[in-house]
Amino acid sequence: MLSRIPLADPGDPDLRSPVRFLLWMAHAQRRTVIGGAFFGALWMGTQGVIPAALGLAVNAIIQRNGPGLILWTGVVFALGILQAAAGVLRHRRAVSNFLEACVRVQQLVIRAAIRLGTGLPRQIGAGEVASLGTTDVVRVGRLLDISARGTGAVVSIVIVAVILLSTSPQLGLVLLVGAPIAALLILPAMGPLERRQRAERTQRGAASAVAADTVAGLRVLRGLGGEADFSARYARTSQAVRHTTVRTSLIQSLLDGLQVLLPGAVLVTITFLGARLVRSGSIPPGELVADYAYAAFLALPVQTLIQAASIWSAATVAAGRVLSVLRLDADLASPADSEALPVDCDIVDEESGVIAVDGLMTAVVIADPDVASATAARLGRLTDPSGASRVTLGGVALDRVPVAEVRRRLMVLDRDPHLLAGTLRDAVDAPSARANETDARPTVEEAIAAACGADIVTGLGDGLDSPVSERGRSLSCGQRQRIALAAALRADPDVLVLDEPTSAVDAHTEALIGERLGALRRGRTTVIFTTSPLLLARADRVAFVEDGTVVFGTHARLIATDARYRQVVTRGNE
Amino acid sequence: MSRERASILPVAGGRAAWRSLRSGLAERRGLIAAAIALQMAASAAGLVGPQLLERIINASGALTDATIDSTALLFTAALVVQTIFTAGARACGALTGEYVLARLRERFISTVLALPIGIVERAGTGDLMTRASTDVDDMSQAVRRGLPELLVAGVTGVLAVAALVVTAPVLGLVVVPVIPPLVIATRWYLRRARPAYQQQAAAEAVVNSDLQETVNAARTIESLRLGPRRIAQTDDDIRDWVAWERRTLRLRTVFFGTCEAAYIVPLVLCLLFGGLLVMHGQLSIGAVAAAALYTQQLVSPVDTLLAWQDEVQLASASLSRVVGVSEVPAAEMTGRIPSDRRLVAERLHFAYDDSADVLHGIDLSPEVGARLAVVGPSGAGKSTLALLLAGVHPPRSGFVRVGGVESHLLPPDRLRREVALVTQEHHLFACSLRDNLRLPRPDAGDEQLLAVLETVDAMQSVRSLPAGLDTILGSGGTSISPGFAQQIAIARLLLADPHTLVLDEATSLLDSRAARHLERSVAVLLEGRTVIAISHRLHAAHDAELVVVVEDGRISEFGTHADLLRAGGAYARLWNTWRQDSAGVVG
Repeated sequence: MLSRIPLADPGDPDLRSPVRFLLWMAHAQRRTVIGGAFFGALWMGTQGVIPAALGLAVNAIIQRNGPGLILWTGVVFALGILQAAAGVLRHRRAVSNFLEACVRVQQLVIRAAIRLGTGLPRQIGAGEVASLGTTDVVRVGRLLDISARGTGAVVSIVIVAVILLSTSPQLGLVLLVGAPIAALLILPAMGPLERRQRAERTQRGAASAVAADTVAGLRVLRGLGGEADFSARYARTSQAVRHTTVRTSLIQSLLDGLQVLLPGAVLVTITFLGARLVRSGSIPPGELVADYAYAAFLALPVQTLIQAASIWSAATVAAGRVLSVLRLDADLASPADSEALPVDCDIVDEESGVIAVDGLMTAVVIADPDVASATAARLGRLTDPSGASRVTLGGVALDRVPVAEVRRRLMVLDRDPHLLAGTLRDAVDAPSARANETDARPTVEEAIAAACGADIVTGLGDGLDSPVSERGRSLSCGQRQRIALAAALRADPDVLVLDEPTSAVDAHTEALIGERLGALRRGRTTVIFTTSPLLLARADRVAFVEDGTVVFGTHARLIATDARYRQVVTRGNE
Repeated sequence: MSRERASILPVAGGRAAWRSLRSGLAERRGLIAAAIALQMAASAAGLVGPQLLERIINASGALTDATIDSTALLFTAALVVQTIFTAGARACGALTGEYVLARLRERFISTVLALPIGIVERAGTGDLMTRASTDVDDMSQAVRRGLPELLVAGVTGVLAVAALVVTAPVLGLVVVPVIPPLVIATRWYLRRARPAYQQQAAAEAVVNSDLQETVNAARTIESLRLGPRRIAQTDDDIRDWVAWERRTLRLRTVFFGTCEAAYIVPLVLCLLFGGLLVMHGQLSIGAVAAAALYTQQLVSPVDTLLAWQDEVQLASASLSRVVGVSEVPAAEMTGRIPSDRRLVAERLHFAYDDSADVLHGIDLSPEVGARLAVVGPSGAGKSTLALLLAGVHPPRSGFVRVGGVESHLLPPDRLRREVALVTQEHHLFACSLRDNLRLPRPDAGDEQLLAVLETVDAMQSVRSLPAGLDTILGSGGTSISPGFAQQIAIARLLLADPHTLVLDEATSLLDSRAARHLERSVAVLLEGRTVIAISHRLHAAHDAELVVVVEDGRISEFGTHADLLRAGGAYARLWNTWRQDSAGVVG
């Protein structure tokens, strides 16, 4: 039921196969499924019975039987109201089924995404995850949704079969054999249609991509030109979509024709045979009317079942894709026989030779920004080092320690950090990374002050409660860097690794940050990857990595003694 | 919970949206007429069944094989007609629909491509992106699925009523009592449905983007250990979405419940009154039976028409947003041609929307061919100044003129020959490197392109591409480093070859040595052109002829590097700090 959503716990899914997963889904929400099936059966079953009452009412008219007419008309009315009520209740259960299934899958996938962390984008394309969240979730939801109508379809077919076979077996047989055949004959045409539709979807996707690309690069186009080309480019893809879609529609229109023709053929046969039975006096005319109404009605349950079949096949494919994420294991493995990570020790990156001394601020100078970022990621084990080299803390290799423990102790801040949508306070108020979470750590305000972000807070209308849009798009690059730095300082990890934390910040502010950062992190280990003299001057130690060697020293000494270093950090300004 | 700022792009009114749709439909008048005519024939043929049944029942006493055979033959013929014409109507409908859709979306894109630069800058891409994707899709879905269904339902509904009336004029009245409840229920529903469904869709979109954001921000979430919080956030968003789902479900419960219950009424009335009339000898039993079947044939079209109401509403909202783009007022343009290459900015004041001024009276008139560095703390208004100097926004007061003409009044294709802007935000289009470069100069040959790439030091990167100039870049293509992307952006600017260039942190993503080298080689090529380079880095200032220090929306210092050092102001202090730090003992 809807009041249970979001689920307190989405449960522990059966990952053995898509079908088992879907069965597990149905079982997890069995009460709603059963309720939906019940009302579905009542709803469609009632509809299936109405023709019988209608036929009896017509017979009563023929027999000039007033009370009979009133009785059977009353029954028609009662059945009509009953099916309306059951229909609404069926719809409510079906929506609950749909939503609960969608939400359960969403919740499972989000939890898996969190569990896999940075490993997910490495193992699966971002686009695939996006379609998982929209398309596949809905496909699984639809299966649970149609379970109610599907049950109704089966029940109503059985009811109609029983009535028909007991009243006029010949017509009943024609109907019960003819209706499914009519439905099944349509199936062969579905294959080509679905293939066409797939091609159409691909083409539509391409057109949307061109549109999105045009809009995303609109500033460039309006600033430098090329509008006419892009307009023409879009028109071409748009026209391609149009032609493909028209071709699909032509197949679809043939299918529409078939959908008229095949059930119609059953109806014609019933009318023809029924008329002969009426003439021979085997059935009263009212029953012919009833049979006609049955034939008209049966198209609904039969089509529902066909729809259910195609939903089932789409859902198993979707479930397979969902499973491909749920089954993933984190690619940065936590060892089974893990070791404890010692405290108050130096960190060594064997690949670059960088050593960060415990409790000090070490600045690492690497000219190539990509190499610098890769080294920073390694220090916090966001990636594993290549080959046999290791990253160690107090002699213990990071890949010998549970990943969660590494995350708590060593924090890496990217140069262009990804802020999440929320308020400014949410963005800064990171969870504590202290061993004892209640230990004192910088407050949100202190962290912001150290990151020189006070002007950002005052500049936004609602201070710390001001909204930050997704990716922090509402902020400038420099503002994003400072807010993310504040969040890292607020978390207060034992070891903080900063990758060019001020690359988009002006010199004046950068100098201030260097000063305040040193003060706030005093006694704790901080590693800053930077080439800016304003930060380098504040570091206790500088490690200069170039051409496979590493030189240690202070900024002042390296400037004085190392020409290559001078060139890197002053950009050749002599 | 608006996470997006309010849209500054207009939304078309219902009438304007309908007008734009109709003008498209008008161009396919013949097809529409054909679709309707074919559907009428098909629907009419589909209504033959009960008539034939009437014939059989009325003749039941004296039914002959001949009657039965001819009836069956007629029925078969009607079925064949219905089949063929149904297919034909559907095909004509699709041809019309696809024509109209293609026209709408192509117009949308060409309108977007002609939007005034200032609007593009202020609106951001989010709103336009939604219109280009979600709204175009929603509208298309409604036309593709809705148009054929509505055509069938509309025509069949009308003809079924007509058939009912023809069969037994009195029994035509049985549909009348149902009309008021259906009308009332529909109006009640529609008033509430539209806003509720919009909120529901917005809430659902948040849930969908949660997953995407979780994946995109995986590093941040993992580093800051935001996992549990992220899960709680998603659960909250789901709760929000489901609350809207519950609201719309309540609306449907009332609406569908009423409709479903109403559908049985005509049948009941038809049987009662028809039966009464038969018993009084005023109507044939066959007519009652046929009329009863017609009342049942009415249910499906009416149901379809009602069920589509809210989708039609939603689609019309999308249509309004798509068409709305064309209501952006055309920017005021001048036909005047700049008389020379001089850029003059005087007494510039500027504010975004209603907020406080960001620029407070800036004067800047570089000599032609001068090289200016604009430095200052972040948030001082440097980027805003760049937008004004490049003619993107008009100043609130004061003016920016190029060759005596106000920049923001110049048509874009003229303006870009005079002044061009490169920001650190770059976009690579999903096409070849060649096409990415040729935007400003479609006729440029490969030699010219390679020469420019050489100037921006990008040849090494180009050589590492899988297919050189033919390599497809952008989303879905080969991904390249941000630094290389910036080099491509600068290469584009060089190809555009305006006489005045505004570079806003244009080399910020390159590593320091590469940036410096690039700036120097570009400088050689730009000899004689005016260059205004905005940077938060001090090195840039050192290379420039003139340094402009912007602080708090004002120019606080102006002069050569040496002048400013001598003056001993803020710039000198900053430079000395930096110098001291970087030069240390060497100082």
